[in-house]
Amino acid sequence: MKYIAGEYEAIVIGAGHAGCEAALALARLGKKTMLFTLNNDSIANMPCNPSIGGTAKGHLVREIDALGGQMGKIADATLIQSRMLNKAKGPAVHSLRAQIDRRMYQEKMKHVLETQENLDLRQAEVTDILFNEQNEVIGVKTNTNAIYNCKAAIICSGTYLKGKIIIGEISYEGGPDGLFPANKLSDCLKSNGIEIMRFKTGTPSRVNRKSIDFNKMQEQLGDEPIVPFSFETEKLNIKQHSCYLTYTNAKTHEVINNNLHLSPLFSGDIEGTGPRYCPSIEDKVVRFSDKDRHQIFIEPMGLDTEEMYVQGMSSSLPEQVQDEMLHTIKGLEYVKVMRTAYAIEYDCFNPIQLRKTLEFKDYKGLYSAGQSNGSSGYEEAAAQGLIAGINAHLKLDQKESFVLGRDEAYIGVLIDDLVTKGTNEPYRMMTSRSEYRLLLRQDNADKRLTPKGYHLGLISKQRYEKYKEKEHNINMQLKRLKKVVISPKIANDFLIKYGLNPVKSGVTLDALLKRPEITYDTLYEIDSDREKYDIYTEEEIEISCKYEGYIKRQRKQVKQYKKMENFQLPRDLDYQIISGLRIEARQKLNQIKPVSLGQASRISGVSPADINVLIIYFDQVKRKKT
Amino acid sequence: MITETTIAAISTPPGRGGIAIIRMSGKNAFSIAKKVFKSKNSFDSLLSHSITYGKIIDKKKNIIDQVMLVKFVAPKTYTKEDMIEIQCHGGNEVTKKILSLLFSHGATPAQPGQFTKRAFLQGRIDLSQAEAVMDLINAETSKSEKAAILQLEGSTGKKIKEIRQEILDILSHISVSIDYPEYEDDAISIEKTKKTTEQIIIKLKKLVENYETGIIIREGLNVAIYGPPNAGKSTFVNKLAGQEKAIVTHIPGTTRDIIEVHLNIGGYPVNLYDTAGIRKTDDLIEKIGIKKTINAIKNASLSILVIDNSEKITSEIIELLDKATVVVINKIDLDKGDNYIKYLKGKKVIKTSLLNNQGIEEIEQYLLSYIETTGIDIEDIVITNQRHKQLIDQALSALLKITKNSEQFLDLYAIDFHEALEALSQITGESASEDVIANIFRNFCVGK
Ligand SMILES: Cc1cc2nc3c(=O)[nH]c(=O)nc-3n(C[C@H](O)[C@H](O)[C@H](O)COP(=O)(O)OP(=O)(O)OC[C@H]3O[C@@H](n4cnc5c(N)ncnc54)[C@H](O)[C@@H]3O)c2cc1C
Ligand SMILES: Nc1nc2c(ncn2[C@@H]2O[C@H](COP(=O)(O)OP(=O)(O)OP(=O)(O)O)[C@@H](O)[C@H]2O)c(=O)[nH]1
Ligand SMILES: [Mg+2]
Repeated sequence: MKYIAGEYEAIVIGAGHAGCEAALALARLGKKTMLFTLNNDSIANMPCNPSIGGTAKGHLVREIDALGGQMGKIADATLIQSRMLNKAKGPAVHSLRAQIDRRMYQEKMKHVLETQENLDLRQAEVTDILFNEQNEVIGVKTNTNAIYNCKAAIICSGTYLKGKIIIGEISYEGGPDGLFPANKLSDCLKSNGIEIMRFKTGTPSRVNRKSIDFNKMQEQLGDEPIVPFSFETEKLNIKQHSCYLTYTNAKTHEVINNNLHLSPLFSGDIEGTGPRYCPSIEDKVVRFSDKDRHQIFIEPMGLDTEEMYVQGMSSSLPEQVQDEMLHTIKGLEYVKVMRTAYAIEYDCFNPIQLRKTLEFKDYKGLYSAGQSNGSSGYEEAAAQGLIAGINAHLKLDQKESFVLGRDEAYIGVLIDDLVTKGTNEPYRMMTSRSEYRLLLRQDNADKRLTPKGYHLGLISKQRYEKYKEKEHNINMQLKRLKKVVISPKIANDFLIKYGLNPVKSGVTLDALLKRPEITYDTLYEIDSDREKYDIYTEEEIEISCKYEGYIKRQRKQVKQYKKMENFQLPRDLDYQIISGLRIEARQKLNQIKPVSLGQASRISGVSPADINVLIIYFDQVKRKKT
Repeated sequence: MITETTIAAISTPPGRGGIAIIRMSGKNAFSIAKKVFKSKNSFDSLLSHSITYGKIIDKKKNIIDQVMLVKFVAPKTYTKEDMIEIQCHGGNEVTKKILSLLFSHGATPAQPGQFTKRAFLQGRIDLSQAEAVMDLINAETSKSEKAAILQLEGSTGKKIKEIRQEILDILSHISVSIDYPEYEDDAISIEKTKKTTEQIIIKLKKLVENYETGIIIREGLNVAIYGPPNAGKSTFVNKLAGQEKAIVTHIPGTTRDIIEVHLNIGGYPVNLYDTAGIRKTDDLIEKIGIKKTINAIKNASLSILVIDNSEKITSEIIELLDKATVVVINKIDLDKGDNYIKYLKGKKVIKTSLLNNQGIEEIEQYLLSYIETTGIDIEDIVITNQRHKQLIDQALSALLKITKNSEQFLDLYAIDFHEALEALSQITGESASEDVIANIFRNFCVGK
């Protein structure tokens, strides 16, 4: 018997990283929200590496935080090791990466959800999205036949839709970590005309710490002091835990080569190829046969557990071969496996069906965020969840949508890539995907996004004021650096000390700091009267000054980019009628209906010549009108 | 040279309604057509250039459309390959279905202009005609754009693509170092980055140097034929061309001016330059001719010295010997006049009796293998397109910044590489950002 179980403004399906951010944003913005999950005990689960951040992903966490999201705060509260990667490679690519206590993260996130005003959390499988005749969402139905009415629904189903677990030649229906899959929802969406894709990803095994010989491995310590993810976290004083590095060897590779025929990947049993950035160990050994070793990282899963994650050993080989493989590795000779490596196949949606707001173009009020959009990663999911939540809220209030540009945030790059180019493998964020890396740094995420978060209503007045003060200090200092001139006498002592050529006339602090060998810290020696600020402020002062030239160059590029972005394209145009376009371009343009010329230019299959045709076409249209 | 793939594409402008034409060309054009086309008479019995009514049938034996099919048997076809034309009932759906059916049977999608490109490479049409066809293909896009595309099909494009790939490789290497910092084995150093950049700069500079000197050499392998008078140089050229392009007499000093002959060897354009024989002379015209010879040798990427087996070698020739990549000892039907061998160390030697057609194949074989191993040489390539020149300059200035950069952070180098890559990508029409990512995963072993 069907029954009406509740009335909500918005419903979020799935309490993974995307769902949690979406639901929290909606509730915090005052929308009466319901969040469904298949299992209350696995909220914000990390089915793969219990780590948050890393290259580009760390940037995403900072951006989420700058907009008022939750991920960074909980990561700070539950991290057990923290490192700032790429310190030697350039300011734009410094990336925070933290090892997380996986259980603690889940519990903390669950508690935040439970205590959030306007938000209900409920364990249930959503089987149907209900639409009216105009293809507008009017509610959802659960497996217990309960109907919940709503005006907006955000699907954040992760890897659960028709999940199928594969271990060697064994396969069965299932979600990650032994959880149930959701088998009905994708059929409902398919029957409504939504295009479904089938993706695959995998995770390596987990082993017991007590069976590892760490003496044979390289220890990797965390960095001190810990730099938090959240701009609101003051200071972190915790005892850090180590990760370990070991390598595969000739013997490992021999075991793999002898058993290749048993791999479903090589025998052709698994259809979907996995993501390129997540090659299985057998894939690495075969494709890079000239390498005599591959790195293996051993990382803790949490404080109250002996389970360790074995990064670098994803595999689709049968269990017994996996065991044999592990035992050839230094330090893992007697290792006891606690969870076998597996691959998972799941349904997700072709993201080109979405607008940049993550709403389906053809289904009003229906949104999708996270892995269900063909992305991969906790941070990528959380970022999309936040944007979908914000936009569902804005739409309910009939306000203008919230879209971040490629020049404003990695989040903008992520979503633009997904909805414009689509993807044929789970999409992972990388710094190389961004054109304006020097502008999208993790240190200035607040500058880029906190004002926006404040205007949306997700950032408190107090935090906004604090941010403004920081900005003020930075600008003041930058101006001062340009003004203060140091006499040659003082400057030369300083320059010689750092192995630099002396100067003849006075030199500004700004010019000194621009030398690669000089840091803001060392500059203190000749500028000791200056005001002292927190590390974030000082870091941003240093980078803004040192890389001013590069930053200016990127700003110029952004201007060019903006020109193309501001060239808006009508949504209802039939590109078939523009005879100068090549056929493929017409079809792609009709499929994606880009909002701007810039977006059009990023569609694969639309050539620069086609863009010229579009420019000429619209020019003609304009002239005809006048 | 027959290309391996069989290509297919819709060749009528879409959206015009009525009839659409699908073309297919290549080795398997007939075997594929046989699988999808059913008519009264068997496919094999159809005559070349005749039109036949029939049905297109998919793998499950469903009829997709009723069509007219024309079979063109090689070599009397546009591309000189076996070709099929299918005239179907227009409409995007049907046309697309037929096309994807052809693809499912092994045909590959033709790039814009690829039929023309094949026709061109097969020597069916020359450059100026190809341009006209390109005009038709994309009538709406600007003319310069098209000339540019055309130029890209040749060796210029190939070279630019090669250089672009080299930039892409370093950029991917930098990206891997940044996006996968934990894989220290795969990291690239700044020194290595700069060194590679210097090499790329040399190559790019060479490309634009030609533009500045204004020497416009036709694309193709430029081969200068030189040697003493009467050695058989003109005979050489005539024999390879298969016709009497140059005057041949027994009088030394017959050839005075450069004679340019365009050949097609194994599908590659080759330009032969017959020259005046080199000797001491007071004849003003001959003197000028010899000067031209020396210039031709300079501008050629491959120089062939022809000497007469029955003659003595002169000091002028010995001087020019080191310019020769190949030495043809002609007239081996006559008695030996000198012992050349001591001068010819390290040279490729081909013995011929051109008069008796002996050794010609060996020469052709050699030229083909030369092209296939070294590619068409950079010296032959000129940038004639203003836009290309400008983009290459842009790439160059970005790369020069890299070599002068003293920053210690790898990331700051990526910006200039991106600029260089972006510029060259605008010439080749490829997408810079996507390629970096694809390149990373192709060349590096990273990931959990
Ligand atoms: C085996 C494996 C390996 C992975 N490897 C990597 C990796 O190498 N790198 C990487 O970055 N990321 C990896 N991930 C991906 C990462 O786990 C996800 O990207 C991230 O968790 C996605 O977040 P999400 O919010 O989209 O979905 P999830 O975290 O998967 O959450 C989905 C939520 O939806 C709920 N749900 C689903 N369907 C329904 C329904 N019908 N009704 C109610 N609730 C529903 C579930 O209960 C769950 O709460 C891997 C994931 C798996 C499973
Ligand atoms: N016996 C013999 N005679 C040849 C051979 N090849 C060419 N000849 C003759 O040699 C003479 C000169 O040939 P050309 O081809 O005009 O020589 P060339 O090198 O072009 O001479 P110049 O233009 O005067 O420099 C002609 O009479 C040819 O017929 C050969 O292989 N054997
Ligand atoms: Mg001659």
